[in-house]
Amino acid sequence: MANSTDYILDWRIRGIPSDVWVRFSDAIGQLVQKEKLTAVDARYLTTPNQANLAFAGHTAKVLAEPTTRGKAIANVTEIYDIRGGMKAAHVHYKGAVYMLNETQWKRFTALVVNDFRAKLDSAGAIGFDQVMDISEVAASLG
Amino acid sequence: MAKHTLVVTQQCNLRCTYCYVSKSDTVMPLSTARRAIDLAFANTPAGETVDIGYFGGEPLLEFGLMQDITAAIKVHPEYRRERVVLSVISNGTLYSDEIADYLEREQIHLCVSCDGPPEIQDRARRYLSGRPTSAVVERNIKRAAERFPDLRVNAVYRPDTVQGLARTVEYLASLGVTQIHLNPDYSAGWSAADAAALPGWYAQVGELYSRYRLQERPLFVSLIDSKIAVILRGGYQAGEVCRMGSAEFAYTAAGWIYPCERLVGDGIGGDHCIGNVDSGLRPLGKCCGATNPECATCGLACYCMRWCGCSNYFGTGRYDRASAFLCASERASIQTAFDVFCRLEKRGPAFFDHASGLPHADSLSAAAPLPARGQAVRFIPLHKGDLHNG
Repeated sequence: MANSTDYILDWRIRGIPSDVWVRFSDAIGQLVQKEKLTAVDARYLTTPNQANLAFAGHTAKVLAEPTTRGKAIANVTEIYDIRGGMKAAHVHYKGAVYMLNETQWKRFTALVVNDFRAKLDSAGAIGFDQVMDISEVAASLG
Repeated sequence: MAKHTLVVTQQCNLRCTYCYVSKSDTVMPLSTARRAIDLAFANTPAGETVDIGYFGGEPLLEFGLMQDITAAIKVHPEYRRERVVLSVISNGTLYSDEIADYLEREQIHLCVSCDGPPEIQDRARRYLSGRPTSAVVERNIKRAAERFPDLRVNAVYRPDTVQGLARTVEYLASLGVTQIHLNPDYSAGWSAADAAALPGWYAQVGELYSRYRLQERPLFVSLIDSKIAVILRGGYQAGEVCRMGSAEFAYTAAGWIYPCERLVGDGIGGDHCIGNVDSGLRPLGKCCGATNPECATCGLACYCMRWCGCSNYFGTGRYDRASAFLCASERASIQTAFDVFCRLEKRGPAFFDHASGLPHADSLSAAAPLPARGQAVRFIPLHKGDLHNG
């Protein structure tokens, strides 16, 4: 959909997508395909809250006042860590943004939750006795 | 974001029992501050925000100096408004309308340290004379919360106050605070019994947090929100972990440089010192992230704050060894956050903004006023402030 310059512009405007999208990329791709999701034209989502407006059905209003691409590019000299925070359920996939409804969001979080549960089950623990030994060694070394 | 803390003075009108900064009359000369600012810009990786925090002692004791330093930052050749974030961490006793006007005008974030309701606050946070601080701090937090919706409060808890953690959250919320950062004192004598009780204390915070959310009065509570974000994002990302000594520095009033403000001690050199504003920086030369053997096989290793060198140091005496308490606390907070997430998401999507980036003040409520077109949205990162307990 977009080349790398477009990604940088999009990040500058709306924030760098979280790495979670990369981590679950294959599954998100399947979700996009299964749900027949259509990419939102991200050029018009200039703030997290505009994204929210778009999701809430105010797309026409938002699109009626488009940010000019040329104007935005003029500000893209550096990328600051302004990523994320879009106040509407969405996923990123291959540089595009897909808005989700409640059911679709639950399908996405189910992926994350199942992945996390397995990790929670294999959590280790540092014992107090062992750490006391380390502290004592450190103290004895001054 | 690179974090640079200016310890503008080591004077303080309080004598908090757990404070890690030694008190003295030392005040940072403006010439030292200017050199520290040069180093701050020079040691911030290209493209990253320069986060400069005023710290002490009590920085507002030197309010005039703080204004001079801010002016110096803003005329620095490298300064650009959108690239620099300024903040001040205060004990909350010196707040005034004059100070509030200035902070608002200069867009300096205010963070106040308050451990909780009077019976908790006054245990450790008292004036030099021994007088309790709770009444004045409570009054000032109320006033500041009305003025600054993004006011942040740091609350430190210890073995003797951890059981009041939920009460602290409830108290701060009653004062109008919506951003609450709960920070354990890692240097306290936490026992195995304390660690075993942690899940219960944290669960109380989780239940309270859920209740506020369901009442559509959402709070940002670091213990919950930061871990939900980390869970949804599959672990801490590179830019979120502490980079002490590489992109995180503290500059003392005497001009010495440390990898973190929690390690400044007397501020005149010592084991943790990594340079001076005159002679420059030297490499930290020590590994920070925990290398405990248990971490190698732990499923939660990438969700855990074992990367925090100073927390490790205060727990074990080494930057690279996590303490048993840190391990227990991280496990309990991750479990609590996960329980909250599952509970609230059952009722509908609640945390999509946590998945997509750094949670910030704007994420508190979908009902919050939308910024006007073109108005800047303030992004307040999590990981920096979570480490302060001053």
